[in-house]
Amino acid sequence: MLAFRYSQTNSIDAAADAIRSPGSKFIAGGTTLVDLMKLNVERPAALVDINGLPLDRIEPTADGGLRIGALVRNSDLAWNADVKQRYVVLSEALLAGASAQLRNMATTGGNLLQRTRCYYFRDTNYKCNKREPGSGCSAIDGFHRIHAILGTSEHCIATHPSDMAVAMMALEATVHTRGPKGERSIALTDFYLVPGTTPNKENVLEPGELITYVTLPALPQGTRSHYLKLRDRASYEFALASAAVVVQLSGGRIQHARVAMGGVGTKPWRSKEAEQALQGREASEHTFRAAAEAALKPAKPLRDNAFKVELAKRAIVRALQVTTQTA
Amino acid sequence: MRKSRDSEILEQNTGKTTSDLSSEQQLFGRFSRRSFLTQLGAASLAATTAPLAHAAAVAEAPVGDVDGKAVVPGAVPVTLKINGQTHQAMLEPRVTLLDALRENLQLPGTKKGCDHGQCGACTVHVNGRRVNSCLSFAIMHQNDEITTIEGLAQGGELHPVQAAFIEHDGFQCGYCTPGQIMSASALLKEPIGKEDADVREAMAGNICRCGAYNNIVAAVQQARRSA
Amino acid sequence: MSSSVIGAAVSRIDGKLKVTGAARYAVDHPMDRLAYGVGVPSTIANGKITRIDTSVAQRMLGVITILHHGNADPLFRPANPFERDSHAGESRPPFDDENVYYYGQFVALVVANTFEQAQDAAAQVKVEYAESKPSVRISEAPAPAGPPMRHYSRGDADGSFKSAPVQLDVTYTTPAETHNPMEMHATIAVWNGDKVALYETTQGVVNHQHVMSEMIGIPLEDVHVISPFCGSGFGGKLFPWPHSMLAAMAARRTQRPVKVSVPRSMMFTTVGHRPFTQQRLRIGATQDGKLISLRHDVITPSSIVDDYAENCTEPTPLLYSCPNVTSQQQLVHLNIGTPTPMRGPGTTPGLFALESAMDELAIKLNLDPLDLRLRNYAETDESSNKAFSSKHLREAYQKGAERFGWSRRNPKVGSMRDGNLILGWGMGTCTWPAGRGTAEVRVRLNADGTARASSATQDIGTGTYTVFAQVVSEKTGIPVEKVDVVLGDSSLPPGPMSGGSTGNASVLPAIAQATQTAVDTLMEIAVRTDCSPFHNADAKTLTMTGGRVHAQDKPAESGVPFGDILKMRRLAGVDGRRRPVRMRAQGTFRVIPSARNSVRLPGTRALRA
Repeated sequence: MLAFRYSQTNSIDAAADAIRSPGSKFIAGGTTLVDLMKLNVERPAALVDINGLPLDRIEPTADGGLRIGALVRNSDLAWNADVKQRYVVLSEALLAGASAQLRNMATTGGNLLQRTRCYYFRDTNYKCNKREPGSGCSAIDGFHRIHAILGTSEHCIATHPSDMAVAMMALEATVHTRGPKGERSIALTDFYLVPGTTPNKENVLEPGELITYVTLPALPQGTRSHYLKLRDRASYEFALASAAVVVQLSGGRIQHARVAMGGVGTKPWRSKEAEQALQGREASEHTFRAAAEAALKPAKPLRDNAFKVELAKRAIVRALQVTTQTA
Repeated sequence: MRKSRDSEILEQNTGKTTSDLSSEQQLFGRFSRRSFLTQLGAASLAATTAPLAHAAAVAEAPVGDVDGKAVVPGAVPVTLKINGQTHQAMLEPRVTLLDALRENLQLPGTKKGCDHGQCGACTVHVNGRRVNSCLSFAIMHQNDEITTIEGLAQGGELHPVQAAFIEHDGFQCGYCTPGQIMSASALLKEPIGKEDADVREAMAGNICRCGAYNNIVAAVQQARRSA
Repeated sequence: MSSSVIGAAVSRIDGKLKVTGAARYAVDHPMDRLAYGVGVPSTIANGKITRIDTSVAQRMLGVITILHHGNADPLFRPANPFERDSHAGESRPPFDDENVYYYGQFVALVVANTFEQAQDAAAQVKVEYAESKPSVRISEAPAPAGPPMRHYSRGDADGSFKSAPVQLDVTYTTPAETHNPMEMHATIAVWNGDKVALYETTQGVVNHQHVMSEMIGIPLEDVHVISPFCGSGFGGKLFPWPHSMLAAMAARRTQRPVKVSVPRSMMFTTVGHRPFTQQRLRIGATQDGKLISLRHDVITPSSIVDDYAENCTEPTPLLYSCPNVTSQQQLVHLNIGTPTPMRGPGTTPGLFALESAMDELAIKLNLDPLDLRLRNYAETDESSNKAFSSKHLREAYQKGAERFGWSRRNPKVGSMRDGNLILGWGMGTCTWPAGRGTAEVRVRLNADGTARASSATQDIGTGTYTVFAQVVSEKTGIPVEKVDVVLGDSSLPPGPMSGGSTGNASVLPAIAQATQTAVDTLMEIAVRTDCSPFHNADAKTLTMTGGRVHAQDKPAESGVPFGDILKMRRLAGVDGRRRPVRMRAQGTFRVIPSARNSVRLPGTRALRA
């Protein structure tokens, strides 16, 4: 690991200041950053420790939603009474991720920004357009069983591994930041970028911009939600395919539906196609299946990850069944 | 007074031999290499009343000394509160909490199993919460209360989780055991369901290649019942 | 007087050390002036190193030296197979030449003052290769190396297969598996003049000592291997691997203790694995399920530099009754690390193939798979024409069938359900040779009422420490808590490797005999010491119960604590390894010496279902 300069701050302004020196990165939980620094994938010259910033609260918002500080630990967020009651999919998604130890360390902001598990990205001996644009993608002709089928390009097929972000997609979260140009709010659906020709750019954050909060809008009365994660092992493993669904029924018909997928996209994948196929329809397996088909229609499977197409469809169907108790 | 191991780095960097240094600066004054080898060659596995001999040796080690010079280039003074004692060491910022414990602070009870947060062998408590010490830098924990496996037993009394692990034979080779026990003892304060399946899920971050899982679950459940 | 110690649920005597973090594993030992070695692994699987550029790395802060094939001290090869106790995991010494034989092979070692400095510098060592196309699959291998190995034959399996009414010809493959114990391989090497101490994690301190003596090229007695605790090995720590030699080389070069830990990523490449196997079973049978012909042909890969053959055909000649049997193994060489024993080597993948074939034969014959096994039950070992010393397989089949409710099984594929789960229900036969190795144990009875047993064998989580204490306690009545056990040190009486499920069988008789010798000596002392209550008695009339020496026809309370006998003579203790000159014939407590790879006593095969 490269040596780095370390500084620590308890003020957001001071943090914004400190990050300006070249090669600086924020460090909070460190579970992605330290891991990648050990692999020499990340080589910051300086780390600004922001664990002391006053961004660790979970509070209701005036409109009945929730405001989550960027430094709230994943475990605290998962166990929060409000979250467990009103945003079940978020709690389930968090608890489905990583291990207890990692959940105690990882933060909301860090979870959103976690990097792909692509083997080639993580091994500097291999060509990787995400690490070095233009150098090539070793995964496309290599081992790509865990890689994405949605949002890919000929330059990159790396999967975004977060569970929390998928749930937050389905919950229509908004990311709030503070940067050199001031504060701004970004809908989560606009936050992530697909690789295209610039796989090194994963989100719209600008240099020096710090995530401060995530807000969730209130959900309609009677909404139910669920996170279903499918993977090779029973626990402590990333998703091969996952589904976060938020559904509100009225008289057996779907009034409000949000569908997002994990493990299959180069970013946490919200499927408006699935939502349109559900809206106003009867809650039945037939409907769910149609929605799943719509969600995976744009999929571009490769030799080793083609199985994900059907797996992701079934994840959506099963998640919807569980949520509407028609399983 | 025993110095942190930075003294030996000092020797390397300054070219002075051990005998050039004052007796205060001598490396591991009480634990010369010869005495180590003697001790370890006679590493009798005493099943008698002083089984914590090694742990006792660590506890006796004086703490609180600091080397004013940056003996490792780039090292800065770091103060850590571990098992209720304050330690001072010169550490580079890139030294992980795990390596600081094992290599600089003579607390090798916490184990390195993967160094990438994937196995749980390095689990310690930070402010009472279980974390992977391999994925955090020591310098980030100067305001924290850190507990390691060496600090779990209080006044010679085993922690209920430690006792339960012995009673249920929750280990074989013992290498994952410190991490398992630190994980399980923190779990006692977490909102985990009652069933064995809930315990398995909660302990999923600790791998045991010897496969002592059934006994580990039994030990954890016993500790939970008596907690 | 039979004690309840053997068979009792005794807590491991090393338990407290393990649960408090006080047990010291290989790289836990603190050292003065310790330096750290971090390896640079190859990033190709086949080729030559054309250049190693250390210009940046060697100038980095804290770097002491960088070793590679261009500047390494000469190492030698292990004397195995010419000597018995010196098997290395990889016979090619590290840095032997510029060749790369597998991905993840050590090509350089950076030694620095701190781990972080060494790791950082290792990443800055630039290695250039002339890469050749690697062969990593059997299909890519050049022709098999040499004639078939382990060729066994009885009858005419070929001809009888051709004429058999029912024929089965199936090929199975099993994947490569890695041991990956929780404790990564690691070594601390400490030189003291011309002698070296190696803090290791090993399943064989004696073998390790021999190998290092040979590969470094120094006398056996100048090598000291210490491994009181081993974070398990599963076979992968039976033999030394390259990092061990590198630690010794680096420590000698730098004149400082050097710690080399194999990172988890290299635990997949350079410390052995169970190899891929490809196994063809050809079975000929009658319509009512009698085996006529059995052929088992195996291909496994080894590395370029070693011949390691996963012994898949080991049980085939004897598991069933069949007049015509041929089994053989073929080795191919691939650009992989040298394989090594892992959890029931050979037999495990071999039985998978054999038993799967028997299952498929049962389906073909429309027979119950258990019934098929019973119809071909081997009453004797037909490979040697000897009776089994004991065989209870039939009873085991029967008991298993009862307990599992085998009669409720519906053989139709996919017919059994539980909700939306499809159930499969099968059975298989399993066997493993019951072998043992040589063992020397010293048992000492101390005047303070404690005992101490020692041997250069290992506890890798298998409970060896506790077993030793149990046996001494069983034979003397000294409570387990008062028995010290010292293992894992090559300076102790030579003990067996912890492998092949042979450990206990090897040490138990030795512990018992050593204890008995110590007790016998104690009795002699009792009858020949003036102030002893047993002075001038016949030693043969004395016994020891609950740690007390007493006349056999009197209760234990009538006697004295054994420690008192020793105190009466001003003896600190009595050793069970050495005996006074006038005693019965000397013996070290060696259990039947056996050749290295067939540690089976003739005629003793334990069969387990």
